[in-house]
Order: sequence, then structure tokens, then C-alpha cells
Amino acid sequence: MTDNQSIVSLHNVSYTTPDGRSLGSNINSSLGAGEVLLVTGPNGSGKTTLLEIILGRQTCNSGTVQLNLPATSISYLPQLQDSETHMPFSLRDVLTTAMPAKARARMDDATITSHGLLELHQLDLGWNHASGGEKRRTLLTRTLLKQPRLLILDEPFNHLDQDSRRAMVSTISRVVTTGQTSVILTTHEGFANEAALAALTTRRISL
Amino acid sequence: MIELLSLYTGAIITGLLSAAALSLLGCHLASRDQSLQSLVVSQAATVGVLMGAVLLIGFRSHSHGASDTTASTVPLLTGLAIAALFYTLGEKLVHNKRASKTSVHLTLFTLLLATSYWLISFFPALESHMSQAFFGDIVTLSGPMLMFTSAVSTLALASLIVWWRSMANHSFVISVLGVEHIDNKLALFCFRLLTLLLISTCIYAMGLLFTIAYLFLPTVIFSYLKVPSIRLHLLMVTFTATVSFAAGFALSLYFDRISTVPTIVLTTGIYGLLLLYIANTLLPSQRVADR
Repeated sequence: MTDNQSIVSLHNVSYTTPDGRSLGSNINSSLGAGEVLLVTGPNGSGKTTLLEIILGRQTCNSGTVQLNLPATSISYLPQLQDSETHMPFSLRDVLTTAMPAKARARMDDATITSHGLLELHQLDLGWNHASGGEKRRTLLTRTLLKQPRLLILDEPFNHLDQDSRRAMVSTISRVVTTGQTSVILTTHEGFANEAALAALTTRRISL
Repeated sequence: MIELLSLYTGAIITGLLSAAALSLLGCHLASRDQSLQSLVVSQAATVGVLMGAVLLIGFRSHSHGASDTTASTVPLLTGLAIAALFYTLGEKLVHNKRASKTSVHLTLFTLLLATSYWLISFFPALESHMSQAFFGDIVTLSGPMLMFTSAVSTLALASLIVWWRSMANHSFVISVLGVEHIDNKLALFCFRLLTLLLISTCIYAMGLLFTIAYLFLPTVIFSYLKVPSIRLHLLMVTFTATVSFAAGFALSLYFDRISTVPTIVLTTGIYGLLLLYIANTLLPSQRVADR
């Protein structure tokens, strides 16, 4: 694949922590439409930092990152801390307030549930009373409703039970195959070896 | 009573608009964990207003006196400037600080509180200004100041209503994922500008107690609403702010020995709690998810 065909390409990317500890060294990879890039490694190996370098939020020490799509086509779902909100958001509020007016007009319950992550009866549940899995599923649905061309997910399977992980992988698989969305996701080695995720992965970076 | 109400029409309209705008703004500030920062900004505006009064005292001693417009404008501008300075300083100090930001804001607040009392000890003539800045005196506001406060409150209220969804979305993202995940930096800047302008104006016109009470009292009470709905929360908060302002103001006129702003604040607390109890009793409560 040439750089012109790829959505993201990394050339000899190296980066360190602020105190100089080396994280990634000479990383080369590229990602085309409808491909899945899996970034694996133990805690503290620099997975999140690499995502932030790709997003342009941090700089690398050497090498280049080329993004061949506008920033508005990228959706990033960072790691979720178990936080509550002061205002009583329902899961439906979390989904609808994120949408621009035109997209909101087209969005109905069927569109929300079609992603296979939330059921109708869950939409009026309060964010502060939802489980960690329901919060994760809501945020992923919110991200998918924006119909991104590149989806970047940081540790999406953390603290999820097997059913939730299976639902997430199934949804990711559907958007990749039917929507030609590209996905970059980070995860631990344990999850990376699960059959469904391994089958979906086309490229891999091990840190 | 009716005659008094007609006499204070301007003050009532301004108070209703300010109460509604502050209460809606407070929902977002509380969600973004900026409650203590708002207290710092409010105290900074109070110090700024006092410094403006000091400037006016100096100006009067060197001339035959200041016009009404100058007397209104100078403390307002100095209030806005000092509030902006401490808002920016607070933001800089807590930037990238993952630990609790409370102690930083509390330190700034303490310094500002000391400054305000130091100013009064140095300029005893400021005592009446200090009392006004803390407790406010809605009924004594002049015509131009009422018009300016109404204009700022209307602008803030219109913005908070028109862009309620995107502001709620930003409040959600900031509280759950962090401010660095907001892509629309212009919207963040406009929100900060609106916060500064409304708080500074209300501190000068309505006082610290009125401003802080309407920023946080309604939204904190209705954060205990059992039905999860942003729209309902914002409606309840606005409704409580406007109705309780009107009721508190009428009470303070009827019983002429009680102070206006403390009566309004206490009425807001009692009315809000009553409405919360009724709403939680009548409205169907949410299903609690199985964890």
C-alpha cells in the first residue's frame, strides 16, 4: 500500500516519556480504509501516547506521522475513568447532545439500537446509575453515531465482562466491513489473542 | 404593596433575568467542577469593585466629583479586569494538575478575602461598598446599571438557551473525559467570556451572596432529582430561580424589616427543596441498573 492510499502512515516514529524513558522506537506502519490496527503492550509501554501522537496532541522525538483525512472524520474514545456527572444525564442525553442538529433530526431509537450495543430500555437509564459496561457501550455508540472514517479506541475492553467485549468486537467488525471505517485500538496482550479480535486485526504494533 | 411593586419594576425584571441566567450557568459550572473557581472569580470581582471605588475616591479628591456614568462604570470595569486576571491565573495554576484543584482555588480565595479586608482597613469609606458588594441591594440600583445588568443577563440567558445542547455536551465531556477532549476551542472561549461577564456584572449589581446563591443553590438541589433528564433539570432550575426570586422579593417588600437578598436566597432554598420533594414523589423514578 502506498502512502497515498493509506489513511494513516507512521515512518520511523520514536518517542520517550517527559523524563527521557524510551517508549516506542522506529515504529513503521500504515492503515488503509476498512483495516484494523491493533496496538498491544503491557501497562506503561506507551500505547496511549502513540494514539495521542497519531492524533497530533503530542509530538514524537523523531519520525513522521501522516494523516490523510480531515480531523472531523476522526473519532477518539479515550480510556474511561469511572466518573459521575453533576447534572443527571440519561444515556439518551449523552447520545443526543453530542449530535449536530441535522444528524439529531435523523436519529431515532432504531438508529441508536442498530449498533447492537444498547437496548431500548437502557436509553432512559441515568449515567450515574449505569454500570461501567453500559457507560462504555454508550460512549462507543455515541462515537459511531458520528460516522467517522477513522475510529481510535484506547483500551475499550478494560473492566468489561466477556459479553460486553463480544458485543463491542461484533460492532467494530460490522462498521469495518460494512462502513469501510478504519480502526486503531489499543489493548493488553490477553484481549488481543481473543479469536474474534484476532480475526479482525489486519495490522499490529507490539510495544 | 402594589405601588411598591410598580416602583421596583426595573429591579424585578433585572433580578428575574439575572437569577435565570445565573442558575443555568451554574449547572454547567458545577458539572465542569468549577464551583470553587467561580467563588474565586466572584471574590476577585468583589475586590475589583472595591478597587474601582478606591479609584473613584482618589478621583473625587482631585476634582469636583465624578459623573453618575463614571461612578457606575469604573468599579464594573475594575471588577471585570480583576475577575479575568484571577480566572486566567487559576486556569494556569491547575493546568495539567491531576490532583485535586480545590486547594489551589481555596488559596486564591483566601488571598482575595484578605485583600478585600485590607482595602477596607486602609480606606474606611469603603465599608458601605463592601456591604453592597457582599449582600447587594437590588432596590437601590440606578437606571443605567439596571439596564446594563438586564442586557448582560438577557445575552447570557439567550446563549444558554439557544446552545443548551452543545453546552450540556461540553459539560458532559469535561466531567467524564476531561477538558482536553473538547475540540471546539472557540466555544470554550465564548463560555469563559460569558462566565466572566455575567459573574462580574452580577457581583457589582446584585452582590456576592445573590450571585453565588443563584449559581449553585438551584442546580445542587435538583442534582438530587430521581428522573435522569438534562432538559428537566435545566427547566426545574430556571423555574425555581425565577419563581423564588419573585416570591422572595415580594416577601421582603411586605415585611419591611427583613433584608432583601438574604430573604430571596432563603426563599430559593425552601422553594427548591419543596419542589424537589414534590417532583421526586410524583414523577416515576428511574430504574437502577444491575451492576
